[in-house]
Amino acid sequence: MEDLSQYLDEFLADARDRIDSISNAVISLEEIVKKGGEEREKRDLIDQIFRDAHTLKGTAATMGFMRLSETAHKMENLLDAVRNGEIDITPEVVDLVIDFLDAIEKMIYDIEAGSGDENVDVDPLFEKADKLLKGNSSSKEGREEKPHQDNSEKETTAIHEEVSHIEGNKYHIKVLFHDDAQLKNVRAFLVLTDLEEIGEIIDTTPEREIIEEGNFTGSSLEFTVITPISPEEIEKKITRHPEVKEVVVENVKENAQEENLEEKVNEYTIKITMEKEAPLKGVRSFLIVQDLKKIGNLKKVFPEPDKLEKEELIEGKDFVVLLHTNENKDNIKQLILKHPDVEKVEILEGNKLSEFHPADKNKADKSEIKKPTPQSSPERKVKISKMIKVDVVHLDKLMNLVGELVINRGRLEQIAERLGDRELLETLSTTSHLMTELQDEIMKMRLTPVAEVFNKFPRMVRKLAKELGKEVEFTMEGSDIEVDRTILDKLGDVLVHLLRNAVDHGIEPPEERIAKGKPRAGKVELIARREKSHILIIVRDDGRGIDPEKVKKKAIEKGLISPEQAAEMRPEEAINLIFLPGFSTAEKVTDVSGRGVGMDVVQDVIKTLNGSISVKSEVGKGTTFILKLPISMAIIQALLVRISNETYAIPINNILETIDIKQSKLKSIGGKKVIVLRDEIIPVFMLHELFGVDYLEKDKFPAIVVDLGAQKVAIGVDELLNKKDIVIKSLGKMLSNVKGFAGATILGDGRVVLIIDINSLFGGISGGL
Amino acid sequence: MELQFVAFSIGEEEYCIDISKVREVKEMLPITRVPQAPDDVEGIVNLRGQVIPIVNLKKKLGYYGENSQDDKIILVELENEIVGFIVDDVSDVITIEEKEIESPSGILGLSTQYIKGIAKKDDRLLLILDLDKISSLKHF
Repeated sequence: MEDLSQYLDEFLADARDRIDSISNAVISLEEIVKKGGEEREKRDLIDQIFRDAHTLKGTAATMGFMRLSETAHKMENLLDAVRNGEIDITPEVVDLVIDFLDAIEKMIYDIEAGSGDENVDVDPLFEKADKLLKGNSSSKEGREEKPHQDNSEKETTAIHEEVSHIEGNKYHIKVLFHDDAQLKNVRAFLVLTDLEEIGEIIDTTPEREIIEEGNFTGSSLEFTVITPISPEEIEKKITRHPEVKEVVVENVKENAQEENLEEKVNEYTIKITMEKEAPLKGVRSFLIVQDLKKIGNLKKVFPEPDKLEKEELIEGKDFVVLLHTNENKDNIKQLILKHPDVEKVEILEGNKLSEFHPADKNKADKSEIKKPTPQSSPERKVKISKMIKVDVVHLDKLMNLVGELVINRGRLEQIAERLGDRELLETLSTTSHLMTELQDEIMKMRLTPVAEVFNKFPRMVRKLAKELGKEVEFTMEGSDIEVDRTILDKLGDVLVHLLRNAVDHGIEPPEERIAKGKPRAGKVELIARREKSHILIIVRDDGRGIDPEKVKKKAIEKGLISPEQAAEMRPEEAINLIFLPGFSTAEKVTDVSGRGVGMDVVQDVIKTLNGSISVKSEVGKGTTFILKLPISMAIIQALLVRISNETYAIPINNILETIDIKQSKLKSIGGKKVIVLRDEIIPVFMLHELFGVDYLEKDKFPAIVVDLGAQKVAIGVDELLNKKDIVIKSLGKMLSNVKGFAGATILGDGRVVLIIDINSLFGGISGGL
Repeated sequence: MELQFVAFSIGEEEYCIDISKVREVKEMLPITRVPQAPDDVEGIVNLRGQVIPIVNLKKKLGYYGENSQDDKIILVELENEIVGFIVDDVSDVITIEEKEIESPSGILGLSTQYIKGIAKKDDRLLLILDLDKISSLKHF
């Protein structure tokens, strides 16, 4: 076996995407079937699923993961039967597909962990699939023997059907590999996959199966493809594969498709006359051609653009183009006249090339297509991804470097201020602006849509509901909201926990719901929403809700609070007890939740992300968890404060306001100091006491008011210093148990300053107060 | 087999650490105290832009003397993270034959839990620190 390890990461990532894609499509499909949706919609989904399964099968085979490939193949058979109407989409079928996906996902994990794809027992799945397949059509038994061939036939039909809604041109593509190329079979497969992504492959030489199974050994490949993207793009896509010697992309005319497409746009023949004596007329003409390409499909340029560039114009001044565009004549004219040295522009409707140049009537001159001129399809129809894939490691590194830069900027600023050189200060201020921009850009680069995590959930929730005998209608909103990669990574587990809780503890069994006069199926919502520099993530269910009295009872039983404390508690406070370590409301320990990982862990994770979590609940109506998270976290704004000779940073996010407290205004309730701020009683803590620093009582001291979720607290310090952008650095594993700090940062003068984490400093909601 | 160690002194005693774990030795650095951290964690320092925790090895091994400006910090890699240890002085790098190392048995009183062995080299008696035990985070 040749070494494919370099492709492994890519394969795994791709496989995961496909699994998500299939599972979401299957679930939507079920939904559509249930609601009796449109045939076409169903068909699209099935085709999509089928394509994903097919690619998965192919890539796995190429990578040598035969078990995985077989499993995908079996699933594909199942879907094929669905597509052909031999099997209906019943919940049973959907379940089976999801089971298949689970098995495949497990294999992917195993492969990633280095133990191959052999450890997952797929036999029961295969049996079930066979039963379904046979049960529906006994005549189909033969297909099991020769599934490949069977498939390829099916596929071709499917594709021909699809042709009708794929817009684009038909190309014949020939790929030549270097004679001594390594891994030609893999490259061939990758080329095939690439082409699949950009359009529909109608025909291949050698046969598709040979390429997909990794058995390709020749030195040239041929494809016929319908795609909306331009030949240059196709060429670029293919030549990026190593060992490709040559790519020839030819337009295949005759296609009714193409003509249809073109009817929608206007056809113009444009004659442009340049000033004969202009010194740069060649270059200018070339630039005009480039501009015209941007507004439409340039069918023909005469003379050819590379000749134009060399100033080889007709009669030394003219050139003619045939343009398909939806712009009107005036706009085209203006666009051309924008260029200097243009003497005259003539625009005629239709293909009037012959009037200008009789020899040039036939339009699809093959040799021309792959030259720089041609064929960029109207852009409004094409959505080519402008994305590149970058390993997160590089982004992290970049982020760190920017962090260092920010620190260094601080140092520079201090030096500059000391020197008082005006020029230096000015330069520095510009540098600062640039750095801020750089910082912003990198932050943006790190942003990832929450969909990456959200996409796992429909399958999970569905499966869970099934296991627990509940009916759940799960909806998601705001999947496109973006958040920093690091935050997203940690968010996944938290949401799994909250959703599990919602289904397990929140939603009642159907009978109970009906008895309560609620709809049979419970509703679980997952919503992401952007709010200034934060995102809110809301997990809401319409289940039983959390009963504050039960929570209190439990907390007393567990010794978390005293009965007296419980008696004084408002319901909202009581609900917040669920965040205390050692608390779990589950009355029975199920397989699903209540496995000892409680809400306290969820809260801890959210806190390490500099976020907060709150809960609202009404008995019988449901529960809502609201997570508030920063969009990015590596650089934050913080207020520096001083106590005695120590400096600390407090994230601005946490601060509600800063106030001055007069000693005389301090009151004492039960031995604890409080102040009254706008009719609200707020406990006052001196940071000195919290951190074991001697404190000399003063007449007046500054304080920071922070929000702990259920309660506001004022923290007294000696002095408020300045506001600063700081880079959060982890304290490392060794100090991870120390409560009260989110990390440390390094100031401009090289000093290390601890960043206070207000929530953990006060040891959880209300418990310590 | 010959093994190399970095030898350092704490109080009257000489200790040593496996040289492959040692990153560098620094003069005393300004340390930021971490409130509520375990007693033998002295705080954190800025090492070329990285935040590094500093453990007072003297305290950890049961010496409760004052710190001095002449103390040294040995930076050691433990479980992929750099940790600094405060010691009185760093003397030299020594080579010890594996067979010269004896087990600590019961002859020492305090802190034998961190000692992997004892080596005699010329007139010196060196206590070999067990970094795995020291690094075992629950001790902090």
